[in-house]
Amino acid sequence: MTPIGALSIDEYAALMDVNARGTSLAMKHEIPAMRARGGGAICNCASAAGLIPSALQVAYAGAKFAVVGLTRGAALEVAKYNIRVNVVCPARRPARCGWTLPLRIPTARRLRSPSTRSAELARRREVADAVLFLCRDATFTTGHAFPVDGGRTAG
Amino acid sequence: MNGALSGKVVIVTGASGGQGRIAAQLIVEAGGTLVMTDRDTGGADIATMIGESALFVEHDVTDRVAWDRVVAAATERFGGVDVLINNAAIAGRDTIEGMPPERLARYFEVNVIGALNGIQAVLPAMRTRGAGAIVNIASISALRATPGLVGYGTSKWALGGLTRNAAAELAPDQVRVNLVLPGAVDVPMIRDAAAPAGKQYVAAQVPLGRVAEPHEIARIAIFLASDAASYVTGAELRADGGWCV
Repeated sequence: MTPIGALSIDEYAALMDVNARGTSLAMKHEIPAMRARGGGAICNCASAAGLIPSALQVAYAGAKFAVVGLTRGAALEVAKYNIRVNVVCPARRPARCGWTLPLRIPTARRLRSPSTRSAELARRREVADAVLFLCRDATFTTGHAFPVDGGRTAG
Repeated sequence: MNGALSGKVVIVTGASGGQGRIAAQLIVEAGGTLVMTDRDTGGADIATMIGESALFVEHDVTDRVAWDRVVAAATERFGGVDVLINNAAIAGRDTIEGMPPERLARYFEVNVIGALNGIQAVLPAMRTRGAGAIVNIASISALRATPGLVGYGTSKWALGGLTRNAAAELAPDQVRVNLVLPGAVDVPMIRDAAAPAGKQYVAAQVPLGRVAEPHEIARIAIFLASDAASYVTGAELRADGGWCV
C-alpha cells in the first residue's frame, strides 16, 4: 500500500520488472519452443488488480494491467501457431461495490481444513485449478483474462 | 475431467440441441447425475442410452409451472439439485428496422427470462443443499455487436447482466453464477445463425483458425459447475478461439 506521491522509482521498477518484464521475457522464450512442438498453452498470472482500478496500489495494478495486455496481444499473435495464451486473475479480498463475498467455507476442502494456513492453501489450490483448466481443458479459449476472485471484479 | 462432478445433480436445459447432447454425455462422464430438459424430445434417446444416471423431462423454459416439475423430478429421482446449466436458447437474424417488439420480447422470454425462471426454481433446492452452481450459456454476441443479430445479441447481453446480478445476490447462499461466452461452435443453431457467412468464412475470422467442437464448450461449463471453480463467481469465460481478444 503506497500512495502514488510516495511511490519510489525503485518500488515502481521492481513491480514492473517482475510482473511485466518477467512475463514478457517468459513468453519470448516459451513461444519459439512451443512453435517447435506444433502448439502449446501459456497461462500468465495477473490479479483482479489487473482488471479493475486499485487505489494505493497504483504501480502494482499498472504492472498487472500490463500482464493482461501482454497476454491478449501475444494470444492474437501466436494463435496461428496453435498456441493459446491466457491469464488468471486471482483476488483474496471481497467485492468492492457493497456485496460482500461470503464464500467463507465454500468447499469440503475448506471444511476439512479450517485453520488460516490451510485456508490459504485451499485458496492457492483454487487458483491452481483454474490454471490447470485454462492450460488443459479450455482448448478454444485464448487471450482471456479469467478472474478467480469470488466475484470481486463482477460487482 | 473425470470425477469433476462426482455426486452432483445437474439440470441441463436445451438438452436436445447439438450443444446440450454433448454436454449431457460429458457431465455423466464427469461423474454427475443428470436431468435433461427440452421442449423437443429428441434428447430422450440420450437419457435412455446413459441409463440410470440420466432423466429426460419434456420442458419449455418459459413455462414456470413446468420448472417446478423439473426440480421435483430431480429431487425425487436423485435427491436434490446442485448445478443448473441454462443452455436453452433461440437464435435468429433480425435487423433494427425489421424487428417487431414482439419478436424481441420472444428472445428475452426464452434467453433471459427462461434462465431467470430456472434460477428461481432451483434456488430453494440449492439452499437446502447449502450451495449450488449456475452456469449460463451466452455467446460472444454478449461482448460484441454484429449486424443482423440485434435480437439474439441484445438478449445475450441481458443474460450477462442477469448473471452478474444473480452472482452478487446469491453469494450469501453459496450459490455461484457464471457465464460462458462461446464463439463459433459447430452445432446446428449456430450454423444456421451464421448461415449467410458460412463455416469457412467464420473459421477464417477466428485467430485459432477454426470453429469449436461442442465438447470444448461443455468442458468449460463442467469446470465452472465443479468444486475446482469454488472461488469463481460472477465471471465470464470466453471460448471463441481468440475472436474477441
